[in-house]
Amino acid sequence: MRQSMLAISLAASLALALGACSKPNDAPAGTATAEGSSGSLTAALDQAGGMKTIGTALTATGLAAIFDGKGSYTVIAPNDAAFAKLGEAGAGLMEPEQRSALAAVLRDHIVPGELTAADIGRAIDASDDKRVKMRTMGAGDLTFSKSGRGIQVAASDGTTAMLIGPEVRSKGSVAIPADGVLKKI
Amino acid sequence: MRRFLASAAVLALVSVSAQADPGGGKGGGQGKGGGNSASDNADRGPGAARGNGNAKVDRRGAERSVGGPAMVDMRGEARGNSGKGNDRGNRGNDARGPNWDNGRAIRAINQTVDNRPRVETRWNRGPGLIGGCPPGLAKKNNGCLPPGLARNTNPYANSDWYRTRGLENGDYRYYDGYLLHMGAGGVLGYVPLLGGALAQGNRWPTGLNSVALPDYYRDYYGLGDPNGYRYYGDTIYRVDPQTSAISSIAALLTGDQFGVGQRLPSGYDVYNVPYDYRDRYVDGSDSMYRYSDGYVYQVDPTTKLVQAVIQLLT
Repeated sequence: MRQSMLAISLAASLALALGACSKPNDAPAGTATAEGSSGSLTAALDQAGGMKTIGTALTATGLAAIFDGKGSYTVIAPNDAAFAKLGEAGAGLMEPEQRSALAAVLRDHIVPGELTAADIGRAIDASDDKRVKMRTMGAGDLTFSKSGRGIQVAASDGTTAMLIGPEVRSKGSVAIPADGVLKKI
Repeated sequence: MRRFLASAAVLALVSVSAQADPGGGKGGGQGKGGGNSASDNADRGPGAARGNGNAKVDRRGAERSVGGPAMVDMRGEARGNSGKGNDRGNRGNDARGPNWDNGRAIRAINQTVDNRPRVETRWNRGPGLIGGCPPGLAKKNNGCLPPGLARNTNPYANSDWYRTRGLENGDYRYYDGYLLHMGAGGVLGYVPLLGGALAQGNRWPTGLNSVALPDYYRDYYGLGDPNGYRYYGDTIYRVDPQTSAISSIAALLTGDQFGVGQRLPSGYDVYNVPYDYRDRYVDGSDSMYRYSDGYVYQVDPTTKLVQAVIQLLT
């Protein structure tokens, strides 16, 4: 309960910080499936349950705009609870003066092209050591492997999360929800 | 469904002894690629990339790429900044467009031995750390030492946090949207940060040169006017050509540079072709496909050598 309240607080504080300069997003709601949508990715994240913080963070840093262009990206998207688990450190990262630090964190969660959990699972199964890597738009790679009945993703600094789908898709890009932030904060 | 034109062209990093294949296979492509490949498997050419027969060959696209990417060598700028410190503040031409460093432009494309054009995916990405004092500090004329800089209170001011080439371990401080590399005598260099100095609404920093992108990137990302974008730190920014104010982030790039005959870098283990192109670029026993920075790369699944570089134009 405390974590969910903190997540709401993080998203709300970011939204407040954006203030009047934040353009209202009246795009059609994206689907929370892999069926595709013509709306923006941040609109789709906003419609998906428990994914407000990542969408607001992408907007606050200006990175949301890349998903509206021709480029294709996949975001391994920490859910609200994942951000909440960061506690005060996470709250500090959301402060306006830390936008560049926040942008760097987000880049570590973005990989080129469109992935699905199914794509990742097939690649893991086909690999020799049952783990696969994707480079990020940030400082390192993400490594995917199977853990239990799910797919685990690990960052270069050792932080891990589980993919918890379903994908949130929109206009050439996709977000795969995850239960952790892939950066030591 | 998006209407698109896919053009396949080969980056022929060929040796003089490369075997040319007039005719170009099934799709009438540009000929074989990978003449310098270490494996015969790399010498398949774009015909294989269009094995399902759907893609059209756009020779114009290839030619445009050949003629387009006159690139800017930022090494001169990086050296020029070193030690100049406060002089940087006067070098800008904010309202007149980017500071293209054309004096050191290099031609990326060379003719192959058979005079056929080739796509060049290698281009200069510009500097990471920039020597000298950042523009805001330079204007203060205080020796590039702002009050409070001695206390490093920002927990994220370190070289590991930000994606920047060329950063070494050392003493870093955060100041007003810049990551500063400190030395015994003060600021050694700086990195303007996305979301900081390079945030939406900010004017492009005076004196911060941009790198001219290859024409294909301008087409693919819809950048338009050459004065309407800037590129720094593997990020493409849209700017107002009149005011140089950053209007948005157009794209993030991996900056990975590889072409026909070269090995696919690590970090592309998962099929990631954009959905709109998946009907024609399907992994199979002869070829696999990976997307990076606006291109689809056809790769030999066994050797991991790139067979063809495919442009995606709408």
